[in-house]
Amino acid sequence: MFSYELIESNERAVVYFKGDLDIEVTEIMEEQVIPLLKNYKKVDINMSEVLFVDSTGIGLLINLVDTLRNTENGIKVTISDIQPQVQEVFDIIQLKEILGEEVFVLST
Amino acid sequence: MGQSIIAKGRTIHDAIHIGLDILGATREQVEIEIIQQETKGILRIGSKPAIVKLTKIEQAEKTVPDIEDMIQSIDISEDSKTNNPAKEEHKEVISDDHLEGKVWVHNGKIFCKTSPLYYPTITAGRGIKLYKNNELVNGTIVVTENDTFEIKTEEEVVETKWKIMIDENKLNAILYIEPGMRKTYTIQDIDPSPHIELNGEEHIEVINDLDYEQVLQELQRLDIVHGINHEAILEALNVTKAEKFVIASGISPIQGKDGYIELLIEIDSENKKPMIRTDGTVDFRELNNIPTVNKGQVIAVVHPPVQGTPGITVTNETILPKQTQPIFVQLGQGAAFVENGTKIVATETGRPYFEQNGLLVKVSIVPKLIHSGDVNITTGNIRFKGDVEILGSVEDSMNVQADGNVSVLKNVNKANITAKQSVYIGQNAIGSTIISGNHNIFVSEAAHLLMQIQMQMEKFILSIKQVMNASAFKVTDFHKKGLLPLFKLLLDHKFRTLLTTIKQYIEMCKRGNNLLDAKWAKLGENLHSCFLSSVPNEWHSLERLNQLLNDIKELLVEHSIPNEKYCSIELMYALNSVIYCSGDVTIYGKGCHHSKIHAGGVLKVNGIVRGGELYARLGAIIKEAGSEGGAPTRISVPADQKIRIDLVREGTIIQIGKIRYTFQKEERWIEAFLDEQDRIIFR
Repeated sequence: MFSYELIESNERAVVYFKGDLDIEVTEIMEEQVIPLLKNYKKVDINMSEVLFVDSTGIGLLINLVDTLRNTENGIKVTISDIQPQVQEVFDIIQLKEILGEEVFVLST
Repeated sequence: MGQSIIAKGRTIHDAIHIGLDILGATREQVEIEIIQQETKGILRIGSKPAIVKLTKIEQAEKTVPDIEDMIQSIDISEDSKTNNPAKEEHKEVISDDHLEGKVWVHNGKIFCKTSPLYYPTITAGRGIKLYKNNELVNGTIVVTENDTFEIKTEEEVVETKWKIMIDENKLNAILYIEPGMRKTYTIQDIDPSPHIELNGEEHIEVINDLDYEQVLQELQRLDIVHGINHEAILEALNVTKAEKFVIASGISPIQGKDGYIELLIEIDSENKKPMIRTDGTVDFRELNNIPTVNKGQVIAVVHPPVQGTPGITVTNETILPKQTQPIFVQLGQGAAFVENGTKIVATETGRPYFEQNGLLVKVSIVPKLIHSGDVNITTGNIRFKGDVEILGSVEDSMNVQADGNVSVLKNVNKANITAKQSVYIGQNAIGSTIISGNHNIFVSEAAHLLMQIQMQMEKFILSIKQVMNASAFKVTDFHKKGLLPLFKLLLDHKFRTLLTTIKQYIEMCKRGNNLLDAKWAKLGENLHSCFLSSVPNEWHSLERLNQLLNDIKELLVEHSIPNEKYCSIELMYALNSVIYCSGDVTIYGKGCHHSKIHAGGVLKVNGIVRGGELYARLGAIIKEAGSEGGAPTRISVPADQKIRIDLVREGTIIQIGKIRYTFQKEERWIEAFLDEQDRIIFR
């Protein structure tokens, strides 16, 4: 089951995704995560506890990053601590080229 | 005087010993004269050997008979008149000097005569073994009278080799024979000389010991029973050099004949060219040589296949002839079978059309529409599933489309002519588009796009498989959305070009709607459903994706089979026109101005090419190209083709393959092609 945890300091938020990022996450992502993160200036998405993804999940992630970046205050989004197996999937899809290389950081 | 020698040694004592050895004498039989005492140097520097001269003391009783013996031997070899004692005497005197220090061979024996200052030498050569005092000699040795020599000749025997081979089809048994031989050497007499090389003379005796019975046994062992040629075997028993004989042969099968269709009317496209008048112009009214058949006329006979006769191998097996196939006739409009499908008759009047592809023949009668006046707004456009002959002109923005040939006896003005087969225009094409052949400009462009799509789709499928195989990838959303979310991800960035190519293809299908076969458009629809749809559908599966790829491949293969022998465009003059033909394009009259021409075959212009772009896939032959005014004229052919121009003006551009050349001055009688280094060569 997917859950998330938010740790904030000043205007910066780190959101820890826990569990599989898949089609089941659609509602949580759209109804909770996006509204929650909209008001920070910097957001880091920590993926250290995401072990599996599906294509809808990757789509949600892309949508999340794009939505946050396109808000009025232009949030700076990073993704960190990606598991190697998940990174493999991202590489095939060329997620780096889709989101931009600066989004991916090793860890926070 | 006895013989004497000079001998060297480390000490006087050594030198004497060496000398005695050479002379074969004892110390008592020689006089010794010391020529040089040895000098001992330090570490051999400055040392000198001892030198002595030994002279054999004459002992008449013993030495003289020796010499006489020798001389008698010489007489045998050199002089047959041995009975003449006077001569013998005379000879003795001469021989003595003559033979001094020489060695010779006579009757297989070695003789020599040493001199005090010279010892003859002998080299053992090929074919013999030389023993000196019972020791085998290698190379060159010194000969003295006291040595005993023995010569043994060598002998080499090669066995007869033979074998029987059966060829691939088992139609022939071949006996290869290489007769054996015995190689012997004899010793020839050698005249006296200070040095002789002893070689045996080679004698080769061929021994063919092939046995008739042996051959028969081997044939039996190989199960060869059919068509044995005993004469050839007997001949083989007597050959003296390596040879081969066919000693048994089977019977080749006689191949049958596939079914075929015999045409009873002349349809050769070469004969349906319009008449050319003596002044070089063309009379398109003389198109009567286009064959026409009437209702009920027999147009072809269908011949059934003829079975072949089986053959037989040398091992008595049956060789079946190739299976023969009947021809398969597909009848189109206006043609029917009679007499159990052995004859084809026309049920309509028109032009017979045959198309053969392997054993499949399509036969139909192409109906003909004759339009007696001009085609204009009052007559309307013409679309006809057959040939169209227009006795007048085709006027402003009118369309003529035909599945067969189109002939327009006058002009085509600002109009479009599309024929699946040939187009003849009796006069001029002005501001018009003329297309001939199935493979029109849209098809070749669509095929080009499809090829790119095919390549990218292969990679696309590969990527999907890769993602699916990744350990962290879940397929939780497949039952709801299929592969659509994954497609979207991949098309978002990695395969963005695939998306644009597919869009271009679909656009191309729309534009070429009525010129493209429905298959192309159908494929476009499927591509749209698969890649451009935003809602999940049945196309979003690997299976369907592979199927789509297969469809693309099939269509491309179909497209690549040329079937263009009936396509050509012929006209007198073109101005501001687009001419696209998958076969030859011929312009008989003044030429073409500012026109774009694409010829899938050979392009011939009997007049002037002024401005425009011309492409000829199988080469271009042009009388005059370029303009003094400088309107750009470009003529291109593929890399393996030639461009021939009788008169080319400054500024004309030719392109062969990817190599371009612009003429800087007027030239005549050029023929341009590419050499192996991709340079344009003129001749």
